[in-house]
Amino acid sequence: MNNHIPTLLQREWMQHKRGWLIAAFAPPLLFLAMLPFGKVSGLPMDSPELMSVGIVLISACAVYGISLLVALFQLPGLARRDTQDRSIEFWLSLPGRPSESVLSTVIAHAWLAPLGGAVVGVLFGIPIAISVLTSRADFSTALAVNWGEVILASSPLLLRGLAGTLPLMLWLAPVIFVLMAASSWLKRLGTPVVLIGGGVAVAVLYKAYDISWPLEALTNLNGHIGRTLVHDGKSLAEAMQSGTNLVTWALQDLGHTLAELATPDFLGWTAVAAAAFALTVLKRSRGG
Amino acid sequence: MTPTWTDQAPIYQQLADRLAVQLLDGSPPEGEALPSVRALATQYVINPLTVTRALQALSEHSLIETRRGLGMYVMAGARERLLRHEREQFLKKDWPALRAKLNRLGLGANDLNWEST
Amino acid sequence: MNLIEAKNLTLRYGKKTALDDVSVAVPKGRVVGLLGHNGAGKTSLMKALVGLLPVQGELSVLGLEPTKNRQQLLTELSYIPDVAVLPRWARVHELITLMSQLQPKFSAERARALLKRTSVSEGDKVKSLSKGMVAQTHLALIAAIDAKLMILDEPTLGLDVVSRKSFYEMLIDEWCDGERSVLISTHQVEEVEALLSDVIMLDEGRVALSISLEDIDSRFVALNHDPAAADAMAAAHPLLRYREQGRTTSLFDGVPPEHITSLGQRVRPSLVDLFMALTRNPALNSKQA
Repeated sequence: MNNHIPTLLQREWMQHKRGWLIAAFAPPLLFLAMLPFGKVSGLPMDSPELMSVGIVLISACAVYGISLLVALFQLPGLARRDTQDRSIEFWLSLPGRPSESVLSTVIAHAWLAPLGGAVVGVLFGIPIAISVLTSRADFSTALAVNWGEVILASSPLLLRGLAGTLPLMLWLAPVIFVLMAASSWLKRLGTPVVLIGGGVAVAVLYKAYDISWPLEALTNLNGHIGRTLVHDGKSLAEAMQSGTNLVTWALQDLGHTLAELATPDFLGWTAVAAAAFALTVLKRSRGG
Repeated sequence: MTPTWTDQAPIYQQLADRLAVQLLDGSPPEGEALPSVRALATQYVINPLTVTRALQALSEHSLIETRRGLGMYVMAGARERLLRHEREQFLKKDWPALRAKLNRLGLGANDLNWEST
Repeated sequence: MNLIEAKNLTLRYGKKTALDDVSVAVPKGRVVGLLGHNGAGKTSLMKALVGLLPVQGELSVLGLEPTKNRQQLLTELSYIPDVAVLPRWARVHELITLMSQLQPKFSAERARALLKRTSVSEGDKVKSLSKGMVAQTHLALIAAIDAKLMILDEPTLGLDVVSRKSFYEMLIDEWCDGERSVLISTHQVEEVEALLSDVIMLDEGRVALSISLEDIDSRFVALNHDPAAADAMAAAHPLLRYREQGRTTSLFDGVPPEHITSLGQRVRPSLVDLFMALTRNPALNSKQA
């Protein structure tokens, strides 16, 4: 049977491109606009090249982070998006599985849009670096920087981040799908019930009944999520200071992250994600 | 909207009657083809199956015939047959009722305007 | 092979029975009117036919089992669940693009040609269109699908007379080629009567009548008579009697005895009258009960 995901991804772009472009371009543009008025501190001043690499990386991470946060906020509501204007009936009257629809929404908003944002961040990194250098030193210093080398030096880390987005999506999946399932079945109450109700339940179980495994599981999940883009921050800092080949470091670090996927933890959380996904798809197939 | 159908007879019969009136007026003339079932259906906004039934009725009265691969054609002498039939209908059914009415109103042939506009 | 073959379809929601032992058969080359009061089961039946609602009983649409082969079935028929459900955020040309990629039998060229006949342009946002224009757009998009079976749930709701006429003409001109069939539910019974070849009347989930229009003429007898003959008529148990401009018409299922038919003049039983006679209007029900 035909795979409708490419078309459904195109639909997400058509419907949400304005929001995505704003989330991607506004932060760097705003930052550039505010630069003349503020002070940038905390960057390695000795080497313009190193500082530029830092700026490019920070810029990419910042825009990526903002886009991802926006997506995570919106995804629960997106589960009900077509029900609200009744267009779900239109979609259900055409070929295209409800499962493909839910999957496309998540892939587009949580994975592709933030990646696009990261690219925008990288591109803006250069003019931002130029501005900062110009304000700190002068324009000629900025021009003197070997931008080719800057990009080259940033690449291993950028690619490490890119590769890390896939495990990041896999670890975020249970959170995303549980919220989407709650939102599609409980409507407006969905997210509050999960976050507040869930939070209260976990706390009560722990404090009142000494049942700590829910809290531990959530803490562990949080840890896994934090270790996807960069597994070991300390080793990164050491590698950068000692001038080790970052490509080697990136590959090793990625290996550690991927290893966490071969654990019972991952299987357990993936089962949660799968169940929540199935619930979301079920609701959609019934017309929301 | 398209001419509405009365409740006096099945729709196919009413369509057949309308087509017959047109035949009397020479449209289409004898030996010429009728519009296709599809064209008639679209024109009158009627299901083609009903159009087919109407044409069948006309064919049973020997007014039109099917020519293999070409469609329905008005038969020679159709106008004449139709005229005779219509006259019979008028004299048998319509005239007695009209005459009764004229008598009731006390109107004679001289009171009527025989000039057609 | 019939395009739709349904036997003993039953659908229950808790206490409510949406479909009660419904059996229908739709061959090719037909325009079938699905009539029923609100809540009679028209929408449920249509949803069952396209696989959106699982039902008990045997059901085969275009040779496929709707709930099992839903995705494949959807590529071979066209379905309008409601003419007010186009995505409001989309522009018309975006819908054309998405549909050409989702529905293999959709022709973008044809959609554009059909849209030219309306006042809707491709750059319009659905949000900015009036209800009638949204319906016209939806109809144009669906008419651009080269399907063997069209299932339309109240497709002319919100359209003005000219647009409705235009739609009916298109239906006859494009879809009545003897190979395709259309199942159309509507409240405008009088308007579509001439378009139909068959009619299915649903009453509270059951099939009250499933007959071709041709057979209606022979099976049902409507006699127009003087009020004086009313008692004689009543004695023969007509389905329905109604008055119009001083004359009464009695509607019978089957030919009444000779002495009854001679009392009146035979007229065509209109679909509306038959519908009123055979189905229970929920609004009237509460008054009669």
